[in-house]
Amino acid sequence: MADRGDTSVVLRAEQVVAGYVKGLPIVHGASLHVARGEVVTIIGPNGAGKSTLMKAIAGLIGIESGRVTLLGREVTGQPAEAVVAAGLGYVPQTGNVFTTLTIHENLRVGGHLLRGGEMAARLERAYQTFPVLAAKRRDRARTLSGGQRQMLAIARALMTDPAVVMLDEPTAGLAPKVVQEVFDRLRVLAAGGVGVLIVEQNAKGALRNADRGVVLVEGRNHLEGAAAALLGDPAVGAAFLGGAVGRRSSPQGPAETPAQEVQS
Amino acid sequence: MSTMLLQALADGVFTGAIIALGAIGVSFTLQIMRFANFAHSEFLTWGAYLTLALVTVFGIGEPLGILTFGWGLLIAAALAAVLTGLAAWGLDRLVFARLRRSGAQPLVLVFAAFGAALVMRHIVVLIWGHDSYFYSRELQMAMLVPPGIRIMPDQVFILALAFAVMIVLHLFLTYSRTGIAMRAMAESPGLAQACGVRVESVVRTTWVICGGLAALAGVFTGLTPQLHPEIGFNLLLALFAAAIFGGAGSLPGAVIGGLMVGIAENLFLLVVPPGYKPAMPFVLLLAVLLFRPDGLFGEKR
Amino acid sequence: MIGLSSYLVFFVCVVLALSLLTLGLNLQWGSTGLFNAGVAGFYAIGGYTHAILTAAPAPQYLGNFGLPWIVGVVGAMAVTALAALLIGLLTIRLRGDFLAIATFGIAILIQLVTLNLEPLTGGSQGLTRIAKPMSSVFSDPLSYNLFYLGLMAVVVGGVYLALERILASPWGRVLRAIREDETAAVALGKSAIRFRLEAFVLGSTLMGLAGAMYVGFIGFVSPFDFLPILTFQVWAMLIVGGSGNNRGALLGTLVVWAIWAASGIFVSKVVPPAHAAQGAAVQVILIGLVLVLMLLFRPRGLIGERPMVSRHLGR
Repeated sequence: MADRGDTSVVLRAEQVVAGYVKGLPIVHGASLHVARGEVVTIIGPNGAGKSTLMKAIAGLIGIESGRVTLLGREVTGQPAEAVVAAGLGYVPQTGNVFTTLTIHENLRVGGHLLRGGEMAARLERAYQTFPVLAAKRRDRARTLSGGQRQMLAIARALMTDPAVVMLDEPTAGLAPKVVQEVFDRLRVLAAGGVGVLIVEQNAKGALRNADRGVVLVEGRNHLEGAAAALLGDPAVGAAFLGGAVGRRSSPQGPAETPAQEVQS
Repeated sequence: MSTMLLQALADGVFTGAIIALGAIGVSFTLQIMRFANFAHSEFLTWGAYLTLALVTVFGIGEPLGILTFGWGLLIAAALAAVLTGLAAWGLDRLVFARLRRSGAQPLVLVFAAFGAALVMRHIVVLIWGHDSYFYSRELQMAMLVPPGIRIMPDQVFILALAFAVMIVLHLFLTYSRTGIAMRAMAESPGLAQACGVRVESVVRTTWVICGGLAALAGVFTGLTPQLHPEIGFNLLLALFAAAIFGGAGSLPGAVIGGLMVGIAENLFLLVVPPGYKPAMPFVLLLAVLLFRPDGLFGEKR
Repeated sequence: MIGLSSYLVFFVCVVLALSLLTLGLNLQWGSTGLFNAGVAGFYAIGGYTHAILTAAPAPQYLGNFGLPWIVGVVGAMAVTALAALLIGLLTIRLRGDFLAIATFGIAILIQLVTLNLEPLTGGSQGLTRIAKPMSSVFSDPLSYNLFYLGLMAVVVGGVYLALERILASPWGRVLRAIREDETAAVALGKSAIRFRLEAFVLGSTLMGLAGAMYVGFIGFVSPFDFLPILTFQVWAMLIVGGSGNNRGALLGTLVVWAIWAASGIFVSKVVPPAHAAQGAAVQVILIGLVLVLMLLFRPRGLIGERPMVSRHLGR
């Protein structure tokens, strides 16, 4: 499928079918795209396949069919290390820092692909952006609080200057004040030109802080549109309450950008 | 009586350092490759015999000072370490990696390792037979150290060299890009991959290093005092006891574990008839497995 | 011709004794997924108990009670069961490969005891003059061996039928479920451990029986019949035949022992006596290769019902 001449799209996933066990897919042909400087959030009920889709895009689980392109380059089916090398940053939900390594070492692993000279510069930049980490750089990551770990995880992913960063439930288990801090950081990141894709269980909070939203139900695209529009759309709430799979006839609501056509 | 105790301690430290070298490899394979590699003991045997082969051809060199060997042996040992490391990686590619790819449970890998160990050990028997060999015909006088402990100069050299190797390894793991990547993979392969670490690369480095360390341990065992095809196998339980005691994936753990096993073995000998000596590492191993399976410094998997 | 037929009878007797080992191991691994790397140890316990109970009395030995053959057999099974219970209680909770290391170490410990506890076990000399059942009736070696062959066949056949019955029973089905699904096993909690322990003890008891039958046939016992290599041979038998399957166990025993014996004959004909040890190495290398190659290329064995390798990809 042609890229529609939209050069600002940094990540595109088309009709991805994937799961943990071959032959038993959890994601049944989901699609999404992220443009430069955009914050897109994937929301949906439990078991909808949100995390699975993210892992498939990252190359951590196999893709049975569909396509993933990063900066216009096809990365479908490549192992995670290759996808990261192509410009992706990924922060998983759990186990997103190396607890046995120090903060400094965590960042160094994040910069594994960097050339020697770049490593020092990126480390400095990470410490300037996240002063909390600088203060504790020799401490083991397991001594960090939940919010600090999240900071480290994000800083780690940013070491390679990725074009797209994907975060799986970045605010899970965090105190409300810290939650907003995280969202703010992500907005700043996007403002710098990075495409940000997040999976969130906290749909309201995510939509309030995102540009666009994609609703996934039972592994398929259900709704899509501007975040503000989705916030006010009753169909979104219905989807979360275990509503019908497939298209709803209710309007998407007013929006600056027209809602995407959704194929079941 | 106390002299005997001190002698046992001294002997224990010397054997312990060698066990530690071998245990490091077991420990990392356990943590990074996630299976108990029963063929590891044969890397020791192969290292020792490869060195023997090289030394038979090129000689051990003029004895250095009061040691029984010269540069020839050291260079041969270094070469043998590289070759054994490559052989270890080769074994992984031929057998273990294939089984991992087809989704085999870790137990099947352990099994295949048993089989590989059999083959490796008996290839040595096939070529060299069951007889004992010596690296050097030089006789060595024991040094008498107050308060009456006998120490061989070779032992002291081996101890120093073993610790030097461990320090170099520690620096590698702490400061080098590859070393940190290895430790990252030891904790979480998925997260390491998400950082761009190439799994195959780390796997290769792990095998080469572990095989090389084992080879050195084998040479040191063969030096004190002789080689035979069972030298690796006889240490198998001790290696595992040390690695598990110290905690899988921990370098300091494996070192302390090795020293503890070596000392315990020798102290044990003071009270038990020599026929039961091989039982000591097993008793220790059983104790560790039952009471502290995560070891001293190990991380829960 | 007499030589060949008596060799064949001998061969089949050994195969039958070893097949009891494989059947026992199949119960532990094939049905429950327990990695018992100490087969040789339980075999030794059975063999030595039988010997100590039935060997003709002699002043230098503590044991040697000269009791009848059947007492030796039953005694061997009982002692092995007890040992398995103790060992099982200690180790059953251990993770898979740790269980392997532990049982492996135990087997080595047992071997050390047989070598060192001379007043009881005869040390490296072993014990001799073990009662042969019905030896007064069948006086010449060939007919006696044929009788024992018949006896073994009955025992093995009986054990086989009993095992098939057991595996089809509710108890057996639970075992199968535990093996298939680890999570179900975890959900069963304590009960899963009890089932595993029962399978472990039962399987080990069969190994003790094998030891008694073997020693009763040979007429003497020595530590060198129970070396660690035997454990690998039995594992090879199970893998070659197909684990999880009793017929596979029997077939595998026959095939592997035939390979072992044939290679032994070949080596002794081809290799000069001075290099006998090295010739023997060829046999071991062969068995090791068979083990590894089967695992790589035919994990389900010759007639196995399921592959030992998981069907699922990834994770």
